[in-house]
Amino acid sequence: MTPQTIPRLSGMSVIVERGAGQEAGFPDSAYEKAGASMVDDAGSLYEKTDVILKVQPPLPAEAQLFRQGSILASLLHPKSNLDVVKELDLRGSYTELDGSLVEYNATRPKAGLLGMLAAGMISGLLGIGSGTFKVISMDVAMKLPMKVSTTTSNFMIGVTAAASAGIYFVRGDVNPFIAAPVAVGVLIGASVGTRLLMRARNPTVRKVFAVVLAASAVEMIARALGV
Amino acid sequence: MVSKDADKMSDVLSLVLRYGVLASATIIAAGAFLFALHSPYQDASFLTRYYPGRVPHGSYDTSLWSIATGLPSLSPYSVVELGFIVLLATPVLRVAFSVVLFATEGDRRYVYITAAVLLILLFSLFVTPFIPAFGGS
Repeated sequence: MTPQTIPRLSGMSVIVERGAGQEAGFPDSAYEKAGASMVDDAGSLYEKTDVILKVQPPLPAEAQLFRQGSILASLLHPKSNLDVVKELDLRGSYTELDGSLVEYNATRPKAGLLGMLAAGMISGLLGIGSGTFKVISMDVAMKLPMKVSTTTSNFMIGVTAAASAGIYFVRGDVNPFIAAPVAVGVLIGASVGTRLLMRARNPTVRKVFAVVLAASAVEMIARALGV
Repeated sequence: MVSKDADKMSDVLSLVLRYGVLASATIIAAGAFLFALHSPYQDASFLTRYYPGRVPHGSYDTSLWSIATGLPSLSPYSVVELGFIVLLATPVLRVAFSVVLFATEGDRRYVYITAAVLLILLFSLFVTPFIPAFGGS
């Protein structure tokens, strides 16, 4: 933005990083004269502004500074800077029971995608829980917090299971006298589990997951050997 | 600068899930209770017997009409089936609501992605049962 445009943005306060226009022939003094306030580093600028105007794409370090919901106008070069673009999208936050906010970014979305593909194929082929593989690929490849991995996997299973369960149901394959007690039991268990998860810490969740994973692996090996 | 509307929407989303699950669990449990009430001493094991050689297509009438006509007389079967419908509709509704949520946030890319998920869900629920290639009738 040039100093001339600042007076036209009535009702908005404009903050400019010191030296930002220097190379383009707009000294800081021109911006100050036009009514902009100056800051020394980009970090404090990201904290204060709702709308960020830039020329070049944000660096990964800068992408970390964006506040949730702020608007960025800049070149992005989406084809060449996939990592930054993805960083802008694949992030989120959740609140722990003690009120602390946990923010996270997903890494290696391609590896995550491959893991998910494997999850889908293996569960379709062997009929074993794809949730296990989804949690592993979110935890190992995408480096999400354990709680985010488990809850996201849980939700994905809910949505995908609705599709297949619905087909069985519509065809009249579901025996209500078997499914009713199972459904009530699972729903009660799931709501207890959700409450436990809110209280649990991420490392604890990971340990529980590891134990369950090991147990199901042993069970599958035993079954394969016909024990 | 996440808008108030978007905040409200995510509250609505969690309410849809919570009450959908709660309602279906209550209805299914009520149906099971009604079943026990109707036939307290009867041996019900024949109902849960599993026949490995038989594909159970169409063994259970799940037409909305038969479920609806059974409800006024509190037929346990219809009540349980209604509970299943609520349970199956919950995640679908949740996805439908997220389309609206992303639209209010102006997040176009995720509107498209979520709408695609919703379409696939609706396709598999309402269309595939009638396509022979998918094993439908």
